[in-house]
Amino acid sequence: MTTYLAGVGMTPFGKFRDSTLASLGSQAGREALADAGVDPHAIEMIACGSARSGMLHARESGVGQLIGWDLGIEGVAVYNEKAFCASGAVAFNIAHMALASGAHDVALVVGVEKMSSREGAGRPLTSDGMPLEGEQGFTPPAYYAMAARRHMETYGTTREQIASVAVKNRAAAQHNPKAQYRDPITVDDVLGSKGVVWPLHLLDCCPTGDGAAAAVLVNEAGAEKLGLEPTVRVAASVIGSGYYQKQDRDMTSFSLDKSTSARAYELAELGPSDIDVAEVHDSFSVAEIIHYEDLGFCEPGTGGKLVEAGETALGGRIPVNTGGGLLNRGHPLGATGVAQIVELCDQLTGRAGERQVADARTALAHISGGFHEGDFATSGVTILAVR
Amino acid sequence: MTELGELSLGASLLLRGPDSQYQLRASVCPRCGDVRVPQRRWCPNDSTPCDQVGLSGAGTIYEAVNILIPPQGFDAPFWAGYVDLDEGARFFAQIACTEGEAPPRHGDRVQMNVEWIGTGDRRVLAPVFARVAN
Repeated sequence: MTTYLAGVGMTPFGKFRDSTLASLGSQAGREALADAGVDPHAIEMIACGSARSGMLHARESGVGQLIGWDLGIEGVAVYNEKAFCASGAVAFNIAHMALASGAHDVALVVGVEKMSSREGAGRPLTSDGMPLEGEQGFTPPAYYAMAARRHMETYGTTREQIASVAVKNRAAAQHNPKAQYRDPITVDDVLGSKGVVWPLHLLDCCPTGDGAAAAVLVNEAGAEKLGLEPTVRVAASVIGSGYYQKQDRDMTSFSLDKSTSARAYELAELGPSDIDVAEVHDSFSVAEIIHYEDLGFCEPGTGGKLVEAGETALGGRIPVNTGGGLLNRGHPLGATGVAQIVELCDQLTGRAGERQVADARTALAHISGGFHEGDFATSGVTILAVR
Repeated sequence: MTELGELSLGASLLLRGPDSQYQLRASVCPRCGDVRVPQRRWCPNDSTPCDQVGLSGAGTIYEAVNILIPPQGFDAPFWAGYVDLDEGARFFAQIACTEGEAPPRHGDRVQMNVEWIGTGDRRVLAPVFARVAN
């Protein structure tokens, strides 16, 4: 069966001290249900993504049940997914598969994270999935800084090209009222911000924060039951884990993203040139450049030139991260994978306001999640299309 | 005295060789020769039970970076990166670089020493790689 997006919603992303996992998740859920015109009691399953709920809030299990309870949804199947930054994307994938198989007809997907404060003691916000490397001082920006150095040396990618990802995504974020950071910045601002791991500076790095995003999915049977006529189809949703046999991997390219995107294009019967707008994992600015290449938006080694030429900016050939990206919309880990879907749904339904991509009919969301033995732990690619 | 690996894996990654020199505890597959640090019980390539082996710590820097904002338990700045060990495993570790010395870079030959890294209760005895003549 085909699955469709019936409605989406999300909270603003930022630091909201008085919020909770339940308040954030149910706020996004209520918005998605209202957008779809679906009563909470019509929901047949919940899939919920969150990465750090146990570490930070003593809620390792049952975040989806908590949010369902707050929304008045009961007696349904609830699936809780934890896959680092890709937790929300995995939750979306689970709901999509359940509806495509016909096991359920109406699903609520929620991604949520609260990172600005914690209840009680917790471990530091570093190196999840890399405990041995963490003993030696590993940090996620160090990983991406190594990738940046290899890309610069191998392909001549410039520091300014890398910084221009952050500038481009901030320019888009100024039109997104729910983004965490919206004031325009320049390349000089990025290069003048505090050094984190050379060549990456503070404005090359995503912030931490709080937020939630949600989507209501239906299959044909669900749409018929509820009298809905959704217009955005899930053309593909693919999740993959890393490749660990080969150790001397080339950090200028991430093979996992190549394989997940190839599978997604195959399922959707589309290619990279068919994509009108994309959300691409930009936890660190250089990541977006490498992902352009692995997703097939440009040839290997030319991602820096692609962003420098403005081809991925609003008004460009293939606008990327029109909602501001992880860098500026914010990155409450478990929420991001669903927030990408919210942005793309708004783009495909013509509701993106000043950041609207004209005539957008196909869209791609990509997210990476966590590390393991030098590779990523998870990659998720979703392709949406106007039916 | 906490050695690298004891906090996260429950076992030290350091071994003492026949000449009392530190070695890096690894696994080797008797069938395909695949070498892994930390060691694996089963070869990921062919599911053969692996043997334990001590690595000399000679290798080549794949890439190294200068960490300016440290994680909790470390003082900045320090250099760290991936080292491709001569036996075939890639290993993340700190890399020695004193002030005024040229930055570590891709292709530099290195040799493992063992030093204390980190601060407070995160302090561990760990491999730190020093550059040697190519």
